[in-house]
Amino acid sequence: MNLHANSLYAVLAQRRNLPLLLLFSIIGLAILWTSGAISFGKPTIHRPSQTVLETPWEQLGLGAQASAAELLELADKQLMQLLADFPASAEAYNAKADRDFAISNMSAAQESWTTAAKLGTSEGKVEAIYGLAIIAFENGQYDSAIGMCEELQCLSPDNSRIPLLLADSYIHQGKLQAAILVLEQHLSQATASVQALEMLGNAQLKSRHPQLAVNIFQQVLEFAPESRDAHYGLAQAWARLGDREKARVYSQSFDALAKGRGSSNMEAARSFEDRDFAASVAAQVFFDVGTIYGSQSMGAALEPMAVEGVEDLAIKNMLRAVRLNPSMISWLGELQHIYAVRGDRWGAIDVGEKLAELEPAVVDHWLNIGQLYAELELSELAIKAFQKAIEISPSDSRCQQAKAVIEKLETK
Amino acid sequence: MIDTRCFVCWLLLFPLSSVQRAEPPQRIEFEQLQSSGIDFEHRDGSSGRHYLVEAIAAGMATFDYDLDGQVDIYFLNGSALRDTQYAVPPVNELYRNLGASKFVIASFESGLADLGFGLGVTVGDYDNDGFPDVYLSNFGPNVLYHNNGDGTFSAIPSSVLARGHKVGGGCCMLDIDADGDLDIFSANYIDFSYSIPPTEFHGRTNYGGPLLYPKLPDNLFLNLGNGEFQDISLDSGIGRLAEWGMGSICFDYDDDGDTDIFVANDSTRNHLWENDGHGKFVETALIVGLAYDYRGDPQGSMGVDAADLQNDGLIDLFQTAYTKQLATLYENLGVGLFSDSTVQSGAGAGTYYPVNWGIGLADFDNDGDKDIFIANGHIQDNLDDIDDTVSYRLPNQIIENLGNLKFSDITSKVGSCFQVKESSRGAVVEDLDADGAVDIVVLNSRRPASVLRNTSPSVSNWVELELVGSECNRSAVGSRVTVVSEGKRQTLEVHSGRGYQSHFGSRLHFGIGAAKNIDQIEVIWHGHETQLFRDIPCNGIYLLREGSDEVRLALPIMH
Repeated sequence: MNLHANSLYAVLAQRRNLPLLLLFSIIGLAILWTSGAISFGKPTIHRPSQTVLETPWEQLGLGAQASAAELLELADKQLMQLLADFPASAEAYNAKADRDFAISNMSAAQESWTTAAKLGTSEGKVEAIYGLAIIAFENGQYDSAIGMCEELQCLSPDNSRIPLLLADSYIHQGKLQAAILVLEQHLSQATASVQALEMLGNAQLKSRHPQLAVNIFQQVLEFAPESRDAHYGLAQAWARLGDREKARVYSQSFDALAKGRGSSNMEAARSFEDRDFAASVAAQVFFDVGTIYGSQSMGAALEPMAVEGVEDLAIKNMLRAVRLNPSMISWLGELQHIYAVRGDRWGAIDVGEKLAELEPAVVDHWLNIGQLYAELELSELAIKAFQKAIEISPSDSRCQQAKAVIEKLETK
Repeated sequence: MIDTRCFVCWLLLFPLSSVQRAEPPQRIEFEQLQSSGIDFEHRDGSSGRHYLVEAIAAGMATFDYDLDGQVDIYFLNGSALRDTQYAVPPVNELYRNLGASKFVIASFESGLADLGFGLGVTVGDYDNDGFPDVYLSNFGPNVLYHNNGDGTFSAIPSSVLARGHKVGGGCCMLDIDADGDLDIFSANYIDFSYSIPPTEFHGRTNYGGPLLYPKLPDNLFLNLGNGEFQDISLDSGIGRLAEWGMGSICFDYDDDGDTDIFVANDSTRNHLWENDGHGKFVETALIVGLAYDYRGDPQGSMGVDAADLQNDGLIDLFQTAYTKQLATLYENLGVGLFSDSTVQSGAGAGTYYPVNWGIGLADFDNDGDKDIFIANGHIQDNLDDIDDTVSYRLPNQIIENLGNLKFSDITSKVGSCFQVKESSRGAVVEDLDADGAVDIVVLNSRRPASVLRNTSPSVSNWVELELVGSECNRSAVGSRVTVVSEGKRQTLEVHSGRGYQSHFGSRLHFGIGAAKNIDQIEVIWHGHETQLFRDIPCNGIYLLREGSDEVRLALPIMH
């Protein structure tokens, strides 16, 4: 990952991307079903007239046309409430730091991350130190960034973002061999990413090893055929190796990728307004706040004190987030999780159907929907969802088990 | 009494060669020049409505317009945009150098008090009459001013050169076909319209970026040799691509003897127009490695300068960029390829947050390598309330060349004038007082200009060269000079138009460290013969004429 990308906020946002949760195990469901521990009868629950994702803005405490200032003000209010509810929570301070970083209030971000680093014990501390390392990197304090990355590697050895920041810091110090060593070590681990390979290719190119760079960028293309870094790097590396024809070919393929980005940049420039920015920042805040209240509601107690209505706070903030940014898959996944845990199956189905609409080829979404319908004893809808899953991935072992569930449902 | 055992130990620890090589560190110092007579204050025509054209103004120039041996200063100025009125319309201002760091305004008497909205400028003797002429790239009609040779200029009426009401960028003179006269390249930025509204951000009105406006192809005008120009933008190839052009520089990137054109484009790929030697151009920036930064990301490219930063005979490029991007050093690898060597060299130190504009590569401490000056300032004038990473007004920067392609940001050590915060745009680096130390002049948006005198301790020697062509163009633009002193070779090319939409450095400056003499000067006159000059004393400003062996002092040496 290039830490000098246009939006470092994107880097921070990505840190919070949670893996899409498969809510229930279809295997477990099949076992329960076949053991008779659960039984499906006729549906007894009717679907609400509106989906949870259509919750009126007013119920979320916002007007549909809320201004940039109103969005940021509400986000700030939620953050302050969160900090009041969880005054010793590293996660809460991390959420505030993320917001401060996004609005370029760097001194406040630094202060919040510093507090979070002191309060946090594990993941929260890692997030906080990582944020501080990014600030150091951006300020050109590469020694400091390197020191923090080394500390982070001890705290979180499997974190795949840390070697990238460490290597990039070395590159920016001109210590190319140190960067290459870090990246090569990282690439030997299971958590390695394509970005690490891309960075290694660039480091080899900078080290005047164009043939090594070619080899690495070609590996990148095996994993990510549309990697801009790889196409660009190959164009540069082949040119340095004297093969102008190959350089031309990769220049053209890079150009084609860059042109696509150019038009999206244009769109972004046209739509880049105050409210869009505010909406994006506020959405992230609402998601962060919702996640933290959600963790509390699910028993991962952050504080000894109990906060009343944490589930509602979690869901309300999550809904705000997904209403402002309706295509963020990981956020929808988290929201679905919260609905499922609190037993609101219709809420979980609403979100699941949105996920399936956004990612119709992802079998997990259909399995989740099928299971939720099955729990609601809506056999027909459950079968339909399971059949969709089987159609997408017939050889998936979970789909094989879904077939057995369908047979049971059909015999009921 | 000396303990000889310890002395021996020291010798073992520190080999004699390293002790012998130790030289006193060079220091670079500047001070704000007071009471110089320069009272220029830039006007950008703004009314608070945030028209983008305001934010990008303007470039400036230094050149000896009256051939008295003193380098004069020419500032571009804005003019009233819609909704703005000035009691006294702003004009471009020319300051005549009287010597001894004194200047007198000469705008109106010279005829260079142009009323247009000035953005870019270049200087060269397009009609080979011996006097430098001026081309202005305006928002509105561009103008070519002919130097009449008596201290006055006349605007040349030319519908070809005026090119309508574009928002111009950097401009250059170059001899595209080596026929001995200078042609004109003019970059274009945006197809501006008052109807495109500014953006709103954090409840404040801000300047919208160039991507909100249509882009325009650049222009190339062929000098027909009779005072007329022909628009050959399309025929030459230049006009077939359009991006948002800003600074530009013309130089021979591939050492094939003809002059190529580099254009720093804002928010998109840069252009490198490779010349076939006959005035036909092909765009090759991507494959050459100059289109993007090292990851293939486009930059908000602003200004650009070229110099041999490693003394390897290859001309490198340094380009300034927008905030949250590093200014970029493109290292010339030879064989027509460049590498973005910014991060590993340290050449981009301190440039990440500021918006960089003016750029000048010059040897400020005369230690024999070119250092970097960068003029900084954001475009958003209400930024300070909402962003604590960067400000509208920022200090400028000096990045010292440490040799071996390593650089260090020494801004905090070069004098209090580098703590002053302005929103700077165009800048020039030039030895204004003929003392062998390169000074700096900066155009600050909406504010008085900064004139920074180089007061570095003079422990090193130097030489300055002015070239006069006879077979090649009179300004010798495109000619390449290599100075050899004590075995060290330094190369410079004569440019017309460079930096952020500015012009400077027609008089080539070389620092030569402790060397007392110049062993040899090699001049490759553009498109013509190579000429050698030998045994030139240091610390002088010399005129070198094509075809003449005479090396004449251009000015008495100042101490």
